[in-house]
Amino acid sequence: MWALMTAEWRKISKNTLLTMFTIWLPAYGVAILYTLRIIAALSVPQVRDGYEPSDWLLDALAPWGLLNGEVSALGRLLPLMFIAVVLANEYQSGMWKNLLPGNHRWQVWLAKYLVLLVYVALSFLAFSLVYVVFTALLARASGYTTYLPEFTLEVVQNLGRQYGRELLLGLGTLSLLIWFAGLAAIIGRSVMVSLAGALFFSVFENTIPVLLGVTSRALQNPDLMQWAQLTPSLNVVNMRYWLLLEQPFRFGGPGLPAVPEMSFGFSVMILTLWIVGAAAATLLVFQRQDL
Amino acid sequence: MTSAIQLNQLSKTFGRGRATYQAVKQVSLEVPAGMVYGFLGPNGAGKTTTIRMLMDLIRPTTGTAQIYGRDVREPATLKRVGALIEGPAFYGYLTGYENLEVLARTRQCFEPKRLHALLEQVGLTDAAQKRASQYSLGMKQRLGLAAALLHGPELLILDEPTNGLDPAGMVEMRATIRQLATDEGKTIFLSSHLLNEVEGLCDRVAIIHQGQIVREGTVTELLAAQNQVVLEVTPLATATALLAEKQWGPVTATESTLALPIQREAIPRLIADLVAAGIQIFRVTPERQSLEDYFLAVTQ
Repeated sequence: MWALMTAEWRKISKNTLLTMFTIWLPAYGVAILYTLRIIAALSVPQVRDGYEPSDWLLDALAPWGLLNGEVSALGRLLPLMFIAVVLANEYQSGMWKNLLPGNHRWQVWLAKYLVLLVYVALSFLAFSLVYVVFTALLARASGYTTYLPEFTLEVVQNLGRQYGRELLLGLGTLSLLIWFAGLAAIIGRSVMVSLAGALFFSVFENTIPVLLGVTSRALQNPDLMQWAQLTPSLNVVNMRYWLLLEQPFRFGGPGLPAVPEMSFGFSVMILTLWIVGAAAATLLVFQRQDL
Repeated sequence: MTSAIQLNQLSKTFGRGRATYQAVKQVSLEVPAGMVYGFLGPNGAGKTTTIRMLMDLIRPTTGTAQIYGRDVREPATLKRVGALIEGPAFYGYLTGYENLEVLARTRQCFEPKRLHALLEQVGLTDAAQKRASQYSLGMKQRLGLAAALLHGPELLILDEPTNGLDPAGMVEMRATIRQLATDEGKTIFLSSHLLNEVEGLCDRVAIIHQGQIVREGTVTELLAAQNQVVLEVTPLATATALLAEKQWGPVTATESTLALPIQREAIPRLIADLVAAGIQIFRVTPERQSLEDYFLAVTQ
């Protein structure tokens, strides 16, 4: 298994064009954008004066909001593209015939899953780090000598706790993305179909609560909103609210009926069912597929 | 003798309902270990589907495939096999060396020295650091052969290994295959539609046509039945009567010659019979049908 994972790691990390324009893009993007802002702050006093200081603890956690938060449909696009391309590329390049003989199919797929999980999580860690470092540099360039909160044991512990929770939740979200992108790749057998399928799922799944809201309003049936409790993204956001704010997420918009509040345990159960279901479906279909 | 490959009533049907297509129909064959075995058939005959079933990439509809007595569905079985199936496939963004490295790691046999040795064996040392996307088809075929040899397999399954190679490349590839068989004692299962390739390299041949094995045997056996001798003799009528009387087999007569199927070893006896009967012999030409003629005869 370790050998399979090493092979997968080598393969992914060498695909610089793909990684650069998908999962590493936010880190590069922030670095470039903040470098420009730093130059502007150093050379234009008005820019320096207009700088609003931020909290590095929140800045460090912010990138994970793209994966676990309410805007995840957009935030997941780049990792999802990356995952879909990596998985579907085995079909497009015709490499399965070289990779599978002598190995269990489930082992090969599991190695892919684990490596993708770690690789994408690392890219978010790097994004966090780059974001904090460049925000600190910008604060310094704008004349602030401190970038609060101060570095104390309590703050570090707090960061560790919060970061650990975001990371765990992120791994759950990524697991779901990997297995669904995998299923799309197996069925589509091409990068384009897999990409389209995975993106459609991600965007569509995020809009289900809104669609249910509109339908329940049109049909005057608020009970329909209960079904939104079964969507994975809503449960991820709910878990995030419980973990960070210790309260449930309340979904509802102007004129839309609210989704009944969900407990943390309920959301964990629903997300687990989605992940296990998607993984089982992916492995089962792949196991029986003619290649 | 141990069988390297044993196929028992192997069939594969694709599709469902009205759109079904039976690509392989109850194929049974046995490849003894240590042999170069040719799997001959026209395009679309079912060669690659059979090979894919052997490599557990396609699940048979019915029947079983075994390698060295073990079912191919056990992954350990295929650790003894190296394969080059339906053209080489590689990651274009990786170099030749990196592609081999990834595949070696996948097969749990990564050893840089071995990789360099294999690249040298297939003549790709100079191109090792070049991206695979920049390789010609011939170079990819050679890299494919190196990939098949990575883990030192006892059995090599090569599906159209000379496809896309120029004449010099073909000669080189065949020499490498021959060397693998004779020097390294590997069993080779070679699928091809190139008859001269099979005739030149293989000890035994199975001919597959429309998903079925239509002939199987050594190349000599298959062609033996097709050997004939052409005689220019006089008087023709006496000779024809004599051959019929002595039961030399069906004789085809033209204006000046007689032709009859015969094994090469029987020719001196035939001549002796003719001489003893006072028949004058002007020409005796043994004719051997090529595998190409034979192949066309059984597949048309």
